[in-house]
Amino acid sequence: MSDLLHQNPTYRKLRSSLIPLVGSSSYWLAEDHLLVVDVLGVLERYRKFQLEDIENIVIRPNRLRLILGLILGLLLVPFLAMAIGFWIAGLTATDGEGEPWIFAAIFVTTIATILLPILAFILIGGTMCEVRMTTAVQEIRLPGLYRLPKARALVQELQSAAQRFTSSNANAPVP
Amino acid sequence: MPTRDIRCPACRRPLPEDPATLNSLDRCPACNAPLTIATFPGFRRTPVAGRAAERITGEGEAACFFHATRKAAIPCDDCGRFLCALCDIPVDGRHLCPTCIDTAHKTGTVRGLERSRTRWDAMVWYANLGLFTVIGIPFVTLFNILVTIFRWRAADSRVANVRRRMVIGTLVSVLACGGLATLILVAFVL
Repeated sequence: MSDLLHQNPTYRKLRSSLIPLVGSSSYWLAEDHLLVVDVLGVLERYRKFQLEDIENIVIRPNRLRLILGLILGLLLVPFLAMAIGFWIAGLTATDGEGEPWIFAAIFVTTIATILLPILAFILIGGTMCEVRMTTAVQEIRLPGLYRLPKARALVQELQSAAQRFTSSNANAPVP
Repeated sequence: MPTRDIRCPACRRPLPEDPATLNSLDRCPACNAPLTIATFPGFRRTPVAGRAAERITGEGEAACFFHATRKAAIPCDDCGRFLCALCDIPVDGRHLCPTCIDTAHKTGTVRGLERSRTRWDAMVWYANLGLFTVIGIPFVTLFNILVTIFRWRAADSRVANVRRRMVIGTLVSVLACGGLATLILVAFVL
């Protein structure tokens, strides 16, 4: 019954990405069509686009990386400052008065340790973007493509595939 | 070449129609918003007119089941009704009528019409979040066991080994249940 795409030689995986806390999306290329698989919660959805129907793809960089980076940075700075202060207070205190400072330092450091990799993930990887594909009858946002370099790489691959398909069809003998 | 209405996603003003110009754009000429446009062969394609159903011209000609004045071109591969060129819907190498297409989509009998599947493994793992509440452990375990048993045949996905994930998720909840039972035994009985 299983028809896993990665076991199907017809399909080649272009890209997959996680949608935080919600699911994932993946892009699979066949000779004549693109299959987009979104997993959102408990639903796995399929959308197929014939390469000859795709008219254009628009990639629009946005300021999401800057905004999220600023918000997390503004949150992280006071936590880091508190962590440093509490550790210093805890380690330099005398007569056992350092214990509450140490506990506070551990708590604040834990929060900072959670925020720091999230901030690093947002900042590393390049500008964030939004990708929209247009066919003759629809305009849809392509999910999971939120980094500019990777979005451009995927679009380039799609363009090459579409050109190859159109050329091979143009050269095909007329029955 | 047909004209295409392509607009900037930021300001919604029309962009140039020439593919070469579009491909070289890095900003919208109107609002200066950064963007990259990739045109595809479909952008230059002339739209092809759809098939028209022929009218019945003489007595004795078979008519379409859904359009009494249109000539039948092909029978439906499922129900056998005669179909005109407009009603004939080719899918997965078969010719179906609109009613059979609707039925096939609801019953999931035609793969080409499949648009979604339920991820029963995700349901098991979301339920496992309830393991963090001690009181939820036995209910989550029971739920997971029932889902695994009654949805085993329906569990399928095109991108993941759903059955393996369902089993692992259920095992996690069973282990949690066993751990809780052991704790109760040690704390209150022994």
